[in-house]
Amino acid sequence: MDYYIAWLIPLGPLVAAVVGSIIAFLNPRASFAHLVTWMGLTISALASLYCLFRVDVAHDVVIAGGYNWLDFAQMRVPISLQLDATSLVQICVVTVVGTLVAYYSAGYMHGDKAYARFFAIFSAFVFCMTMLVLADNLLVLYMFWEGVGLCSYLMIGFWYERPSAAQAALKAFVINRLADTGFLFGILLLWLGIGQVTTADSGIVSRLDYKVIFEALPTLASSHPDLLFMVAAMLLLGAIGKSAQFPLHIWLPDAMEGPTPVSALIHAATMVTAGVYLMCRMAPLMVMVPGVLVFAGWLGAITALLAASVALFQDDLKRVLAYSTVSQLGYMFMAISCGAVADLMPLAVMAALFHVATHAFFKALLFLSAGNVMHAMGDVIDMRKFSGLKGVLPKTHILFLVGGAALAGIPLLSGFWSKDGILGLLVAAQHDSPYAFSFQIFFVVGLITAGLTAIYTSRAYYHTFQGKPVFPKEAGDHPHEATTQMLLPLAVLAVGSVFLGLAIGPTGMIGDYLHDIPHLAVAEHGEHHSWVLIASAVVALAGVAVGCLSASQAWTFRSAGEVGKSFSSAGKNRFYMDEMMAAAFVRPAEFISARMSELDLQGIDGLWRKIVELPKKAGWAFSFMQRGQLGGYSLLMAIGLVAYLLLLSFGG
Amino acid sequence: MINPALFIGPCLVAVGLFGFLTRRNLILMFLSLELMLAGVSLNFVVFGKMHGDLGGQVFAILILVVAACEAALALSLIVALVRLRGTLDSKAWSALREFQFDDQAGSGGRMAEDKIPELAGRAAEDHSHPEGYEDLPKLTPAGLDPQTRPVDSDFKLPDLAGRA
Amino acid sequence: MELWLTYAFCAVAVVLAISFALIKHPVHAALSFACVVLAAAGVYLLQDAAFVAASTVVVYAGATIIIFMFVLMFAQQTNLLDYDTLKQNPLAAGVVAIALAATVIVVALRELPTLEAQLAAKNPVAEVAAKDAATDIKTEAAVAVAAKADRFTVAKLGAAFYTRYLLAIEIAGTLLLVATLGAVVIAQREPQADVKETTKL
Repeated sequence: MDYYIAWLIPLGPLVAAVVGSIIAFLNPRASFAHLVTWMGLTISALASLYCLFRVDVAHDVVIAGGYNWLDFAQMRVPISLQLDATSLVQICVVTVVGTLVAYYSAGYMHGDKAYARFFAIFSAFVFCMTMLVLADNLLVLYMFWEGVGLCSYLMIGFWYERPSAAQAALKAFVINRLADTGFLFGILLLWLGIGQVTTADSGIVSRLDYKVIFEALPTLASSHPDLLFMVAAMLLLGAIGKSAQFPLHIWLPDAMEGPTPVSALIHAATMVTAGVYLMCRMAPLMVMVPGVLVFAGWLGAITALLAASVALFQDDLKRVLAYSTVSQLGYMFMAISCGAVADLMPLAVMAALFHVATHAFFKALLFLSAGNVMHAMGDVIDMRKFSGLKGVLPKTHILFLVGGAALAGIPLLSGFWSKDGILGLLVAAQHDSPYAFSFQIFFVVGLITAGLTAIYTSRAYYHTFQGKPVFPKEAGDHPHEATTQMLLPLAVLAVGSVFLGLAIGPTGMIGDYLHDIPHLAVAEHGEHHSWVLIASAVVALAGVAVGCLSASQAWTFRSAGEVGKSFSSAGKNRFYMDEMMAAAFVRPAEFISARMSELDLQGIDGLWRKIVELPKKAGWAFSFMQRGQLGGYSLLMAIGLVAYLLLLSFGG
Repeated sequence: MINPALFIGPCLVAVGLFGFLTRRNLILMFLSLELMLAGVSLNFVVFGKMHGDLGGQVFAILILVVAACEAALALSLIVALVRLRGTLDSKAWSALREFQFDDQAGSGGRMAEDKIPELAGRAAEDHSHPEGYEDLPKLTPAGLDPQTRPVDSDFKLPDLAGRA
Repeated sequence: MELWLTYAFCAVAVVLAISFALIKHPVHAALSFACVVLAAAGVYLLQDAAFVAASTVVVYAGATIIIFMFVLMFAQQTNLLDYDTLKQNPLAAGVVAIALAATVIVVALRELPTLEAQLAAKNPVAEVAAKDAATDIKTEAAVAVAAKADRFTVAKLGAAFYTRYLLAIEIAGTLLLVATLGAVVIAQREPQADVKETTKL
């Protein structure tokens, strides 16, 4: 059967983006701008759900072709969509969450002076994201990888009049560029390598089709193992940039300068999981270089622990959530790293994607709830300035509670299942593996992070909604609950947060989906360790208890002695990661560029200034002739005349 | 036998040239030019006789006509110039000079520019640009204004370090 | 006789020209210019150019000099100003002028004999004269006839003006007319300038 309907998935947002841009140019405040985006995204979401249920992923990978971007001689660039388990799960998350956030945004952004622009960029982002996910070619993926980066930049800097927003946008863009450069090199290396081992004249660009890559992999692994290692390392670099992993995670917390719906969609649910998606997509390649995978796991572990610790000390509600996102992304990378044990790769991909899906729902829910809080508090998001919002925002309170519980991993909610899946996998990976030690560490880190997650989530919840009601003066006299239009998408997300874990995980309702990853050996169901389940539940509940207790008793690390105090201040300063990055990259770059600038100004510019001065000097030397005096000019003329005459007469 | 009259022509031209170059009185400069013309037409006549051709004389007459026209126009021009500057000094006219020679320009009969009604106040202006500079077509300066120093003296690199 | 007269006129012309160049007083200089023109007219006469001589005297020594004098006096009431007394670049100008004259004269001395020989070869009258010189038989009549035939007259010049050189003369006349008009236009006072002139001059 033809899956031309799959083309609706990217085309809906694309049309919405184009139409939205035109509207934005004509009337930036157009109050109907959201309708176009709503329509495009709804079509997209419905189409992707349709594909999810219709495509028989167990048997084949569906390639929906039909569009040739370029076709002459060796250059053949057909753009086609690949529908398989990995992409379908991701695409459904993207379009469904995207659609819900779009519904929400119409209320949240109401009255903004660049209302239409917001929705144009929003649609453009969803388009790029769908193409990124559905691409069947690494080059096309890269193209839209940059596209989502651009949209992210535009969205973080949406209120570009604000210097902090503009700087955050720049920071995100530059750090992503750093990583993307590596990614691009990886792609080029891979292209080179595949060119070495295949003689298929399927077109130069088609060499990077996933199918071609995966078929060429065994040959490549035996003939060019070094190259494969480099490619994997480069792809990992790209992934950790986009997915904000240590040490490139510092852009994500600053990205919260963008509008909250954007934080929810781009910087929590979808774009930042593109790195995880890339690892999953390239799983058949990654599984051949377990060293890189374990390294990814270490990065993930460090990120998860570090970000969770920092989240403990943040006062800004959105920043807590941002660090939580970073930490959860670290979880996903730990999950992927289990692929270092080759048999576990399908399960690793499954666990990672499972967490991506559940995380998208509950994190989007949390962000949008935080958006409601912000909306009611007059754009104040500092938790020290308000508390006890339970009374004024009852519905938001419930929604936040659901999302927070899912994040904290309260049993039976979705976060619990996906986190448990990852922890179980980490335990399974410890058996007969050369990397057992690493996985033991990962497991411990995972447990600790789970506890920390529960603590900071409950702390944030408690500070915001419990306690005696305090409002900042920006909120006005009567803080009000968000409109129904804004609450309904949240309700849908909340339902997802509660039941998605159950649906995919233990009940296996749609779980079959993830059990067959193309190009990988069919996954064996690993033995399940029920003690892991219990341990993670205990840790989560304990964390919640500690968090609530510390928040209500005002117990802080500050009161826990000298060590606690310094730990606390370090956490408040994000463990000086930004400073370290500045010292490691920014300062040297500035130093070099300052020297270069000096070289340019004094060396090169100096040289050409000297050269420029030559004719000037020469002109100066002869300018004594230009006195404007008739006598002088005529004398010169006469000298010239006589000289010419002499030459004519005696010159030969 | 070479006609001695042939040599008077070049002599008159040379003396006229000398006079034109050394004189500063506009009228006498002009008379020097006439002298040169006279020398030339003399040679025409002599050569015409040598060649047995009347063309030499005809040309001399034509030169005479041209000299007369020139005299008429030059005198009217001189009258107009004298009206502007009140002097016959050719150094009173130096608008085409390079400006660093402003202070050296002319002594004596030259009128200071600010005393000339048409140009009064010009001396007070900035002479870094010639008159009418604003209306001239200009290249858009790429980067720094070449009129100023290439880099301002207080220019320094933006403090990027403080931002991190 | 003619030759000696020519020498005399040439000497007078050159001496007066030099004095014209050197005299400081502008009126004296102009007068010596007039005398140079008169001497030149003498040379013209000796070269069978009576009409050119007459018109030179009338146009230069008469009209031009007189008008120049007018302007000179109109513009310069006081006598000697420093722009008359001071010469500019006398040394350089002298070198240039001498170089010019010397070059031309040297070239003339170098080239003229050949030219004369060529002319003699072409000119029947000169041929006769040359033959006479060769045979040393001087037939007065032949020389007179030849000289008469060779001599330019005003009548011949007039005929040439109205036949061969008609267009040139017409153009010259037109040029004179245009120059007259131009002179009138340029010398015209602008109405606004009137007030200033009366106060200034």
